Amino acid sequence: MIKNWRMQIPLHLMLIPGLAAILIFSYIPMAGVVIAFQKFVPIKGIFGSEWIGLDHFRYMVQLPNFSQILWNTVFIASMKIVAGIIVPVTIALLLNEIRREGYKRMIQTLIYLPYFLSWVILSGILIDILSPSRGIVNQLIQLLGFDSIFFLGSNDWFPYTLVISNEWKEFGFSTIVYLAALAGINPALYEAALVDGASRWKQTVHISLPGMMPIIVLMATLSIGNIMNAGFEQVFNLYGPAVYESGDIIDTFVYRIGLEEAQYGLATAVGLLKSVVSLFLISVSYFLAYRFANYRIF
Amino acid sequence: MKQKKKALAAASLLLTAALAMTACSGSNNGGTNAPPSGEPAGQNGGSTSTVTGPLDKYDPPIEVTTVRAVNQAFKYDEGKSIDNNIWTDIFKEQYGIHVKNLWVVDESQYRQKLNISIASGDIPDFMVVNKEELLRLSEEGQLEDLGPLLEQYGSDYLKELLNQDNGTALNAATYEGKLLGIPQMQVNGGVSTAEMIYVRADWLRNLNLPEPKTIDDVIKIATAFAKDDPDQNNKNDTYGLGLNKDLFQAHGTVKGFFNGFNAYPDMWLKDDSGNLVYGSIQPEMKTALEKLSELYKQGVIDREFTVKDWNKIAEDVAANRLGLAYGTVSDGGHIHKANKDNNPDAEWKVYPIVSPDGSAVHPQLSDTANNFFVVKKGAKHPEAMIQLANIYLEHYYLTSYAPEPNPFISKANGVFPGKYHPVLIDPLNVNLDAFRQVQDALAKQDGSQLGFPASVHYDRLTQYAAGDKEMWFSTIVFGAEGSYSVIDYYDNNNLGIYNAFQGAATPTMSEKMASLKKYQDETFTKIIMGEAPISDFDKFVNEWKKLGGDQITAEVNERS
Amino acid sequence: MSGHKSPAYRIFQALNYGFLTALALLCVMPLIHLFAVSFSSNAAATAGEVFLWPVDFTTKSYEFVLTESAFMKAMGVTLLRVLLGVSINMAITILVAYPLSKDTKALTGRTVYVWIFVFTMLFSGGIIPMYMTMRFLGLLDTIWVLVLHTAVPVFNIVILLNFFRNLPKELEEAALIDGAGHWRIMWGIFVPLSAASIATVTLFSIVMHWNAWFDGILFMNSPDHYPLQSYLYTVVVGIQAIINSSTDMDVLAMVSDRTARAAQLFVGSIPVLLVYPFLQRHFTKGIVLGSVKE
Repeated sequence: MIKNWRMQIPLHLMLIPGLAAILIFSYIPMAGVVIAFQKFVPIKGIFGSEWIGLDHFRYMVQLPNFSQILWNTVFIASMKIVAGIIVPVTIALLLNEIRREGYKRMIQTLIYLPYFLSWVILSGILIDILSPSRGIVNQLIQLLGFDSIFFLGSNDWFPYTLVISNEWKEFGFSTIVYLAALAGINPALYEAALVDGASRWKQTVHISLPGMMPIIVLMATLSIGNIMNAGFEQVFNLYGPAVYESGDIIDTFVYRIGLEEAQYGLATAVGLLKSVVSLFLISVSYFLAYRFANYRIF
Repeated sequence: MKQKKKALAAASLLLTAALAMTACSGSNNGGTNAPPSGEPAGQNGGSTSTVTGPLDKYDPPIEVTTVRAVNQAFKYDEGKSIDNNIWTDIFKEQYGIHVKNLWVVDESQYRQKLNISIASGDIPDFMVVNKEELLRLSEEGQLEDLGPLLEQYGSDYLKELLNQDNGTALNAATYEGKLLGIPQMQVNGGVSTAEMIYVRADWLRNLNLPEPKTIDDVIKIATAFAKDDPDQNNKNDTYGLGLNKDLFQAHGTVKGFFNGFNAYPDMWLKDDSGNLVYGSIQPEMKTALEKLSELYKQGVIDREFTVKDWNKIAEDVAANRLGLAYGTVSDGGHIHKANKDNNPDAEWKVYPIVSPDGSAVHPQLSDTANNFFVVKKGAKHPEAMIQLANIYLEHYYLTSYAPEPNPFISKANGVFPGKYHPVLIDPLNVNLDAFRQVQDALAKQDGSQLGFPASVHYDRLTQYAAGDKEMWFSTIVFGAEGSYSVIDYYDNNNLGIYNAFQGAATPTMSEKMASLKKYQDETFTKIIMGEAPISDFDKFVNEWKKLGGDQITAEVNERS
Repeated sequence: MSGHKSPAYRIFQALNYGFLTALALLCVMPLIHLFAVSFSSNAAATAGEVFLWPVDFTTKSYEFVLTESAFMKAMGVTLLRVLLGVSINMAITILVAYPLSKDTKALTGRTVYVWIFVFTMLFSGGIIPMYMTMRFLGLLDTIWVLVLHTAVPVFNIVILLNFFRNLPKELEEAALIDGAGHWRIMWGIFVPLSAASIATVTLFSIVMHWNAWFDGILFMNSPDHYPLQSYLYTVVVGIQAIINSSTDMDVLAMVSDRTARAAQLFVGSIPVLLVYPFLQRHFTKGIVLGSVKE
């Protein structure tokens, strides 16, 4: 029986502006996804373009390198997702241990900075730093007695280079969310643990982490939705024919196709495919979290 | 209760505000902010406004719509803009034409914006499209037949200009006998797109090396530059032959190198039986690739070339690390200029591309027109676009403003009014012609008769000769031994060759060319780096044919 | 908190400080490099000679940037966009996160609502339908197209609703017993206690609006109306396109040089970089729970 329907009305009303906005600006345009099933020609528009059903999807799957591209995309994206949880959580916990407020804030600000640089700029810098002959990273590696590594030019290293450099750029952003989560943990819990004689480490494991867990699960779930987005801008600015094998992702390939002709149908089909996969994964995560932890992610 | 009402009020206020704003700005839809100077032109002048020939005036005035791509180089004087400048005044006052820009976008996103605009039904009276877009529009019957219009309304100079490449570009825009687009011939098009070799002349002297007359010379020079410390700074920090990751474009290209072996990557050629074949899979490519892989193995080519685009190559040039590379005619003006700024003692020379036995090479040329001006079917004044082209040529090239400077040329503050014109069709060889005129004038020591742009270069060269070192960049391009002297040589000997296939992309081309190109670039890069044996080239050729190459070749031959 | 004087912990502290400092330095170096480039001569920058300190010090590029009226105009558009956009974002975020943070008993159809929102985060028709919709609404080339197509930040909403949910239930129950309606509870209790998370999503919203560039180029009909990052995009990337395609000598001579690009980038990032320290105060405020019995 619906509890106190009168109490509920304000809640429903509060949702109206948001619902109206997404109805107009998300759902109505969403109808255009029909382009994914059309041989879309701009001059014909949406209503005049020929319906070709699943042809775009068939084309994608039949591409000579499709499995390679798909693998690259998922592999790189997955590594980014995992790194994107582990690194910021760790850094947030470490930052939490800094007693001096001013210092903590300074570090927080500084680690956030790389997020603002675009890959267009960063790629130039990265190519120099990682250069096998003149780059500082390899100079260090050589000092340590190893051979220099061609980070951006070798298929063995390229994906990892992508993940690490991307993490370096983005971790400051997610760290903020985890710091906010830490700030929300009841201080009384820590005091009680202290009284019980728990070490800082024990406190971290038994209070901080569990306290952050809902947010961690949330962020993980949301980022799983990105499993097909391996990061076009980064890859595009850093790759080259030498590393197509390990570095060419769905988006960069579709981009190159777009150079020949405005392939909106194919691009939309690719986008649709990505969305479906994301939806599936997020639903599964949501369901699992609900079933086994009785936790509604959202 | 009060809170609930407040919430409701707030929400509805927000929505109303948003909607109200849209209503107000609705009238602005599609227009740009700057109002046209003077009286707004009458609503399309009415169908009573006609002209009979080139450069006539429309009375009453008419309005035509178009869209524009601009870029960072577009600078304006105070109060002027793309909608209000010297051209718009001329159009209005002298010819009764008002050109309205439906939208203006940065060049980099022009294609996107254009396609989206077309998809939404916003099609201007005339616009610039590429071959594929032209094909699509013509298939839908959306374009005016420009053949008769060009005949009746095109000025003599315009017609002459459009045929400077023997009608290749016009051909590309002709479908089923109808001319559907006026090619946008480009300044520096045609023969000026041929590649050449840039060398550090002072390094050649330091090491007592010959000038590059054959491929072996090039290899000798490259090897010496890489190994023998040509800049004599006791550091092993120089490269041999410059090579960028894209292989066949911009500075650090090896397209010219391949041409020396009669190999023509990414281009269609006629074989002995007159059929079209693709250059990238011909056996001559193998020979050239083998040479490059040897050079790489010997350390003559930078090991890191695979991550360097032409910008990085330019850095190497500027920093005295690279003294030998193939490039294009305009490289000197910015790439080598940077090196000269850093190192005033550096000397650069330019040479035509070479072959193994020293015989003349046929350089590969880019299409003379990649873009075309088209007119929407049913536009009220379809000939207006051609008129505008006439006006551009008339006022920019054909009128002498002496003793005043030409008001359309680029000024010291970066303002270049010539570029504001909506229908830019320039003579292909304007720079080459200017080069020739300048050389004549220099010989006579008299540049007073020169028009634009020759006069600009003449002045710069004279200033340099008088000691103004800032003008060095002009000599590397327009000087007697500059890059244009190489183009001049190619042109005088009719050496350049064009892509034998000038049409729009065929169906299989659209589907498969990107994959094939990826495969090609990957294979070539691997072969050069020694990660794959040269025999992989043959494997590549077979695969290429199977993966769609044969299909494309068939379609291409069908179209021609 | 006290009592962490064990030797092991002290070592950890030292390492921690060291590590985080090194990390911070690593993050700030590219910016220092760009800063140095912006004050260097173009020749030195093109030759790649600039590292962390300017070579051939000059302020020419900043003069160029700051007097370039297009830059200032674009900055103005972005400031307006951020002002409007963030206000709308935050209003909607709070208004939507609050009801959705309740359970199904307090709000019927809650799960349905949530999925309606989340779905839009995953699915989109692409730029063509969006453009057509905006065109139909007459919003093209106005500030509203930029601000409204991004009006509902579902990611932020989901974050905020989680934080709302983690607030102690007793607070709400107590207020309900006192006869307060949801509106009062939201503004009077939830919002003040969620300073950290609200500051977080506000920051995200600011950054999103500040950094957006593609929509500016697509939806605006003239470069005069571009927001800052769209303008910077044309400067940085567009110039490459010019150099790649144009062989016109005069055009090449006129495009702005590397150092000016660095200066423009720098000036374009500073305002939003300064916002962060201001918002930081809120990240460290914990929940005041003195009034609630455990």
